[in-house]
Amino acid sequence: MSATVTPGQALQDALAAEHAATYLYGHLVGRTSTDRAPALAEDLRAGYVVHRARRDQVARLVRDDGRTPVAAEPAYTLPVGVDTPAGARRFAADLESRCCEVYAVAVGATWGASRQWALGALLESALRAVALGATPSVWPGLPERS
Amino acid sequence: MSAPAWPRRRVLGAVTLGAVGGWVVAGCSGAPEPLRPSAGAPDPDLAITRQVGSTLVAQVDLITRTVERHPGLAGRLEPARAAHLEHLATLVDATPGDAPTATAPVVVPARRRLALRAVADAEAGTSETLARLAFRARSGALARLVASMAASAAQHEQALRAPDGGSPA
Repeated sequence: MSATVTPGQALQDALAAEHAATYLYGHLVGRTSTDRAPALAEDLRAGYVVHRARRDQVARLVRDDGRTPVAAEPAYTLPVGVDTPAGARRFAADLESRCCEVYAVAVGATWGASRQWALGALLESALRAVALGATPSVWPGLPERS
Repeated sequence: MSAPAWPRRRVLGAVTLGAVGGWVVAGCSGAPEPLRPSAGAPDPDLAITRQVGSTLVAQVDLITRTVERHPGLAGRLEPARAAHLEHLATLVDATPGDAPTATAPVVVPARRRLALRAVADAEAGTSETLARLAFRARSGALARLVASMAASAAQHEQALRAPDGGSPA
């Protein structure tokens, strides 16, 4: 990881992460039966809604910074092993943990409203990861300490 | 006003806070900027670092006293205690005896369930305080580090509120 992440790049990285999270959550939602796994389906739908909203929020921050928001990739590598509720839950928890890493970088690279946004996103994703089954971490979002 | 010394024996246990010339958070390879105050200049983040330290000490103190009164909660509370101790150990302080410490009296409820809830409530407060401090930090590396501590406290709060002590999922 670079030691010189600019505020603009950190926000663009966060936006790219939100594009990916929105897509992948949408994929998980579409593969999870509301009849067979209603609690998981609800958790995944909530995750989808939250990341879609965050995507729009951070895109506005990027525009406010005078930049053009990075676009979503045409496609993302679909996860394997998510055909079971346990697999989907595990993947979603890992997805949240990886989002925490991006948000933590944004916390360090920005200030003011952007840092506030990144802090909120970090805390929310950290909680969502545990709700999805992750073990509480000593250093959420800091992979170099894990 | 001189601040009291760290309550090492009771709270920090075997954790060693090494004294170095200038507080340094080691191993911030992923940090957006170095976390080293310039030599000789007052570090604008020093007050924030001290508040982080006192916040963590207070939470460890609460957990320690809660376990003293309710030994059956030791296993349930140990992950949070260990996390906060690691957070504290990372805040290597330049001047032993100059760091703030928790001063608020700790009252542990007699009923185990209420004592557990009190710790969870305190984790929530710890998370909020650390998040506010992260927001105010000038150093990006310090902000990132303290934000992670805040997220950790929030995760432990959530785990402590789970009925079975595990994931609420």
